[in-house]
Amino acid sequence: MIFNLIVDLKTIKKIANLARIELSDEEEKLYASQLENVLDYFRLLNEADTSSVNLEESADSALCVKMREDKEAMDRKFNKKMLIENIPETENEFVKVKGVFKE
Amino acid sequence: MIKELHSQLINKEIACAKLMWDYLDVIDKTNKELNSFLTVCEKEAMEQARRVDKKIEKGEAIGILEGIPIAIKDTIITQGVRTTAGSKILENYVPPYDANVIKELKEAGAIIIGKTNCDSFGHGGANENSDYGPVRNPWDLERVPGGSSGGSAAAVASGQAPSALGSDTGGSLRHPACWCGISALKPTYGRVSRSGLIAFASSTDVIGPLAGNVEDAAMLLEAIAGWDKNDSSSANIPIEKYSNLEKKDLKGVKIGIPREYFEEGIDSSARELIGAAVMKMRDLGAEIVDVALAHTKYAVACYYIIAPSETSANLSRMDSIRFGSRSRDAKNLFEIYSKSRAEGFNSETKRRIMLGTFALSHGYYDAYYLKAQKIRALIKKDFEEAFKEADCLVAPIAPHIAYKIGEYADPIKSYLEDIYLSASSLAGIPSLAIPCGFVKSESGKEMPMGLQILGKWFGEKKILEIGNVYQKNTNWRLKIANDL
Repeated sequence: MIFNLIVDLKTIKKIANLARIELSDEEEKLYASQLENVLDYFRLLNEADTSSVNLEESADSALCVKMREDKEAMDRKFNKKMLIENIPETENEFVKVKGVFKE
Repeated sequence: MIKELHSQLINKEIACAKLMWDYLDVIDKTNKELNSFLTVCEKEAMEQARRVDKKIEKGEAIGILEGIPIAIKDTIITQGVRTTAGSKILENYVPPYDANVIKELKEAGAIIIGKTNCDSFGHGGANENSDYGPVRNPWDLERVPGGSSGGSAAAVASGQAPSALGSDTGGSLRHPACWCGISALKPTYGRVSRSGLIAFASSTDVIGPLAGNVEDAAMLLEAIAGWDKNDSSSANIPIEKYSNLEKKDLKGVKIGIPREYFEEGIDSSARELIGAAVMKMRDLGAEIVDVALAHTKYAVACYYIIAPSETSANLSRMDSIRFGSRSRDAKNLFEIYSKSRAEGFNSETKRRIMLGTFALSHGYYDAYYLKAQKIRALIKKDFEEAFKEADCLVAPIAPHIAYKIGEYADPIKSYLEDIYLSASSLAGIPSLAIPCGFVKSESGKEMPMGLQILGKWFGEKKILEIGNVYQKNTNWRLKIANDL
């Protein structure tokens, strides 16, 4: 059941945190109101009767997830230089990032 | 067009290098205004063209697509050629390998002329959400070309390239084809490998061709379709001879008209043109039947829960660790993610990621994502039922002609534009977009309008045949874009 939801700043801050996207104060207010409008539009989905739907049954048999053997699958050979060139910060061909552990 | 170009090449009426030069010249003269290309592969394209010429000189046979220039949407990765997905976060990304479709095109001898502009990550229906500026419609530079494959569509419509590839998640091949007056095919989900397509919504994304006519689109589909071991969602179904279009009329063809698509919201001029096209199809021998797609009204909401949810998951890899633009202001690891993504994503992408993150989050997953997937099953069933009554469905693509750049700033207003596109994307069925006329805008310019022919799963051959018959008996595709 999709409820009449108010998207408050607390909710937006939580979502932005989960999405790992830093938002300014103005952006938080803007997205909160836009999200609320979109979610309000989604309430029309409550009208649809989905009681007869069994999601496992309706999965496409032609495109069902196929398992493969647990061994090397890629047949591509990558050019190491091309891979490293895309890394924003490197040191001795290692990917460099800020410290993972806090001081 | 491709058949003619091929014939000119093998009969030595034009050298491939000259052909390529001419197209590059059009791009050079028009790209500033259209902004359709983000990267032009001038040097590589000319080199490959010269290689084709050498083959022809030696009397070697060349394939139908060999030497033909093709523009590639920038969501499809090309080895050694910068690929941005229309986003700042991939501004300097150079892929280390080719997408599967690129591999297939190269094997067929087609020559990549450049990478085209698009809404970033496919997020948009008008090509206004590119981080590299909007693409302009070659029929009226003040208007949008449609999106998200707007660059590819504008390139073909303006004569910058005879063919292009684009992608369609919720209408992104069909929308720009409609507003630029060209033909495009959205294949069945799984018909073409997605390996190397920068993902938007994994359960609806498809790659497809754009061209000046149905025959060319069919040739391109034949080249790129097929099972790929690097894409487990690609279908292991034989590739038909799509380019072998032999039907001369529509006798015995049952065309379904979905009543919900013509009820309200569609402009009278669009309705008239599509109505006239359906009458033409009837004159060509088709039987017209009325069908129902009862869950149409839920399709947009359903799509805008599922697609943003999937994009929020897919874009989590844009973390600037192994690739992507990294923020210089990050003070710790968390900020490397949060600031790089804040700086690299535009507002539409951020909006969709947050919408998706919300819909998948604890406490809301059942009410939103799961509910949407259940409704999706009902939408799919609607099409299954409709295809018991008809061989294909004819429907609008857009409710009106292309609007002016900046006119549809409100997000919901722009989402509702997808009304005729979302359901077919969710169901995974193929659709052929073809021009069906022109509408005069208030500024007096003739703007293209198109329709789509929706087919059964893996029924591309049938819709291509039907579209080709209609096209061979009309002249819409022959008009050239003229606002440059």
